[in-house]
Order: sequence, then C-alpha cells, then structure tokens
Amino acid sequence: MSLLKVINCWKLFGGLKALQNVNFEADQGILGIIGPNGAGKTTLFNVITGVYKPDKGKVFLKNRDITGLSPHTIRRLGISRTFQIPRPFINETVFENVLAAGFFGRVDKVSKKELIEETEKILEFVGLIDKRDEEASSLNIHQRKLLEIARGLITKPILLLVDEIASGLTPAEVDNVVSLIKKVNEKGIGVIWIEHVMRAIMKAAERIIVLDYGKIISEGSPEKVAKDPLVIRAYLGEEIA
Amino acid sequence: MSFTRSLIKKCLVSKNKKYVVFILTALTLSLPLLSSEIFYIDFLLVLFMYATIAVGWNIIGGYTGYVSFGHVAFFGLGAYTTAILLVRFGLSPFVTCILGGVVAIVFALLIGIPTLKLKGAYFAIATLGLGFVLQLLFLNLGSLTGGGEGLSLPLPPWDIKTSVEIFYYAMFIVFLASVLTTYWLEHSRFGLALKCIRDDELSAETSGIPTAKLKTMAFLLSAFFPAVSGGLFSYYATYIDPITVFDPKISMYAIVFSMLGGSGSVLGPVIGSIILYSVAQTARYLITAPGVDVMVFSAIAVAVIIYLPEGIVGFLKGRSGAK
Ligand SMILES: Nc1ncnc2c1ncn2[C@@H]1O[C@H](COP(=O)(O)OP(=O)(O)OP(=O)(O)O)[C@@H](O)[C@H]1O
Ligand SMILES: [Mg+2]
Repeated sequence: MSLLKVINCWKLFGGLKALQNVNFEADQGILGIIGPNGAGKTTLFNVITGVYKPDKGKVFLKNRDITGLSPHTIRRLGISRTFQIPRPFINETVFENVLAAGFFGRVDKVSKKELIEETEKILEFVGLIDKRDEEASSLNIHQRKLLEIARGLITKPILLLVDEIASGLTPAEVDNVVSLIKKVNEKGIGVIWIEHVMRAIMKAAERIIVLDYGKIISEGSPEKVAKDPLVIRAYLGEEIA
Repeated sequence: MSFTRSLIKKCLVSKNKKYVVFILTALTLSLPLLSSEIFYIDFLLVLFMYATIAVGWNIIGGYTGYVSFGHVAFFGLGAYTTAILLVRFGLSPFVTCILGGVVAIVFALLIGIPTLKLKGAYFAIATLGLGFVLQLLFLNLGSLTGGGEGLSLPLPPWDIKTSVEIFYYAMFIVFLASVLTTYWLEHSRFGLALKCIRDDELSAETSGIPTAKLKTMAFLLSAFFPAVSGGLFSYYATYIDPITVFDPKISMYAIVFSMLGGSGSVLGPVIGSIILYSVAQTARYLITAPGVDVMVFSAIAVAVIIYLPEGIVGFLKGRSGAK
C-alpha cells in the first residue's frame, strides 16, 4: 500500500521554482531522493511536513489529505523528519530532547512512566544511552544525527523523512547510520531518504527519485537511475554509485 | 572564591534548595515581627513587587525566549484596573488585584496573537511600544482614569504600621505564587515545551509541539503576576498616574534583574532582583543626581550580556560561557 502520495506539487520562492509539478508515491520500503545542490529536496520535505504550504498540489498520508496542515499536526498523524543540519534542543539533555517530542508528538495515550521507558529504549537503539543526561550542546555531529533519529522515532511514525544523514560523517559513522536506518525500516516504518553520499543511498534504497531544478528527472532502481543519461548530465560528471 | 561558589552551589542547585527556600520564607514571614522599622519592610515590599514582575517576565522572556520590552504595560494595567474598581465602585483591592491580572491576560491575548508570530528582535521591538501606547491611552481617558492628574485612592483603614505589614504579606503571597508557578513550569511538560521553543522553534513545531498555542499561553501567564502586583501597588501607594505606572524603567528592571540572576531558571530573577534592587536603592541614596540608577543598570546589563550570558544561576551551574 502506498503510505504517501505527493500529487502535482509546486513550490515557488518568488520567481524561483523550487518544486515543479512533483508527483510520486512512497511505500513501506526505503525511497531514496538524490539530486544536485539546490534541486529542491529539502523543500519537498518542508512541503510534506507542513513547514511550507505547496502553491499547488496535494499531499496524502494513507489516503488522508494533509496538505496545508500545521507541522505539529502532521507529526502527530505519523510523519517524523530529521534535519539536514541537526536542530536539537541545544540546552536540554539528550533524554529531554526525545521526551519532549514524545510528550507532544504522539496521539496514543501513554503514561509518563511508559514514555520514559520508551525514550530510554530508543536511546539504547540509536546508541545514545550513555549520553542520556548530557546537554545536546555537548554532542558531536554524528551524535546529533543519531539524536535526530531518536527524536523522530519516539512518536512511532508511519514514515520517517531523513535529510542527508550521512553527510559530514566518517566512513565508519556512515556505515553506522546506514545500518540504523535499515533497522528502522525493518520495524515497518517507511523511509524517504535524501542523500548526497551515493555509496550509502545506492546500497540502502530500493527505489530512487532524482530531482533537478525542482523536477523529477528520473525514477527507478538504483542501477537504472545511475545509468540514466539525464541523471549523469544533471550531476555533470559527479561520480554516481 | 571557589569555596563560596561551591557553598552557594550547594544551597541552590542541589536537593538542599528546598530547605534554603523554606528558611528564607520563614525569615521573610517573621520579618515584621523582628523589625519595627517600616523602612525595611517597605524596602522588601517593593523588592517583592519588582521580583514578581521579573519572575513573570521570565516565563516569556527566559523560558520561551521571547524577550518582551513592554511588561510594564501589564503592571500598569493591573494598577489601573484595581484603582478604578476601588475609586468608582468601592471594590476591595485585595480581590480586584486578581481581576487586574485577568484584564492583563485578555490584553496579552490580543497583543500576543499577532506579535508572537514575529521572531526575536522583531517581537522585542513590537512589545517596546506597549507601555507607551497604554500610557497615552490612560492619559487621555480622563473621565475614567483621571488622565494626567492621576487617581487618588482611599486610604487603607489601618494605621501605617499595620498597613505596611498587610501589604508586605500580600505582596509576598503574590511573589511566592509567581515563584511556585515557575517552579511548576520548570518541572512540567508545558515548561519543557517552552524551553524547546526557545532552543529551536521549528524543531519544536515539527516535533509535535503546538508552538503558537503554547507561546501564547506562556505570554498570558507572564502578564498575570506583574498585573496583580500592580493592583496591590496602587492601593499601597494610594495614588497612581500614567507616568509612574507605565514607566519604561519597570520593563527594563524586569529584563535586567532576570538576566543578571539567570533567565530561564526558577530562582534567577529572584536572585537578580535582590542584588540589583539593593544596588539601585543604595546608588540612589549615595548619588542623588537623577538617572543614576538607569546608568548603573545599563552598564550592568551590558556587562551581564558579555560576561555572564547565562546569569548567576547559569554560572553556578557551570554554564558560564556563551553558546
Ligand atoms: N525559504 C526559502 N526562501 C527562498 N528560497 C528558498 C527557500 N528555501 C529554499 N530556497 C531555494 O529553493 C531551492 C531549493 O532549495 P532546497 O533547500 O530544497 O535544495 P536541496 O535540494 O535540499 O539542496 P541541498 O542539497 O543543498 O540541501 C534553492 O535554490 C534554495 O535557495
Ligand atoms: Mg537540502
């Protein structure tokens, strides 16, 4: 079943067409989104999560129209996201960062005690339990990215949107986040994953969408997309796969 | 130095805090019994008043990160509500000071909905005018407010000593209520959400926090206590006019007191108020030239921003550096 449907979406910033008639569906697998800098990938996430309203078009989550709803409502309906540059609650502890999302981003009724247990489980899962009581400001970039995932998971999302989680990490850290996201997907959470680190995304994604100048220029399996002349031209010699 | 620091730290940030607060409360309550000097009681009464305004300001300015430059508006509104209800309708100020708080909440709602959409400096600028606008309004609503001549309230029916003591306790109760509210905030989901909004509003919103609603609630709460203290003040002073109760200096006191003590903490604004109000009063006795206290304050404000961005409480918790 398709979890997310994006239909004929447009997003303009003044004269700049950040998204032009974008159409796609996402299911329970891992969907990769690639494209050159400024292609509109993050804008697409902002439109899906309600940060921006599309100028035209609709977004459906499990056949429910969520276009134009506020970000906190969309979060509660089951879409979590991580930010390209992590945006933790910098003065709060790692634990509080996740707990806060748990308090407000969930629709199911959980007691505080259960939520605390679940928060700890998730910190364990992403590998941040040792940092439980440290302020988010003390985390390095890798840990901040893990925190983004933990904060995303506490609300039991249907769909996790991941924005460039591998960029800026060492190869070992990249492997760590790749296997983590695969594990998230194995729990039954659909993943849409924007990534520049081709080595990571080409291995993990079942299907890939390529955005260029706000348009989808190619779509298909990683192998198919990597050989597409349009894609190769968009990247102008940048190495793919 | 390090000994003092660790001692104060023990008092403030550990489990001992409860006892320290308890002892201070007991001392405060018994002060009128210990000292017959009206001067000291009056000094503390006014200190409680400023501290209440600072504690109120801290809810929106410190916890939520929306720095209001117009909190005097709520204080003045509370003062006038209570004064008018007494003068025109004979209602008891000890009851109507709460009504003043409600009026301030309604006003904060009207102001908060549009202005809280503004970020950082823009919100600060938008609130800067609040006190001035109300000052003008009250200057010109002569029939209701007495205009520039102000309002004289009936004298309280007690002798001076009793009267000062009653107001002292009343102001202390309002002050204590504001501190307890902040204490609750510090440990509640609501408070955590406010801190998240302060740290990163977009992140808070996408984490499921209804930021617009909670920011507004924080603003209403932060307007309430200053207004209640304003109501008590008007009856205590027995005379108010727009120049006094909408004095922009009061907004500035709230900000600087909170920042020195440590905004975004329960005791920060209290500690800041105790230290700075004492300094300001002393400065006024030593140097009689007008405006000295304002100059001293501005200097302290600049120094705090540069050297103690997290305030005294932040410094004691070991968070002295700028982030
Ligand atoms: N709020 C905004 N206002 C104006 N222009 C914007 C805004 N957000 C994005 N843009 C522009 O829209 C285009 C798409 O930006 P977007 O951030 O979606 O790109 P991206 O594909 O995520 O790029 P990157 O790989 O560098 O993260 C860019 O030209 C960007 O400058
Ligand atoms: Mg991007």
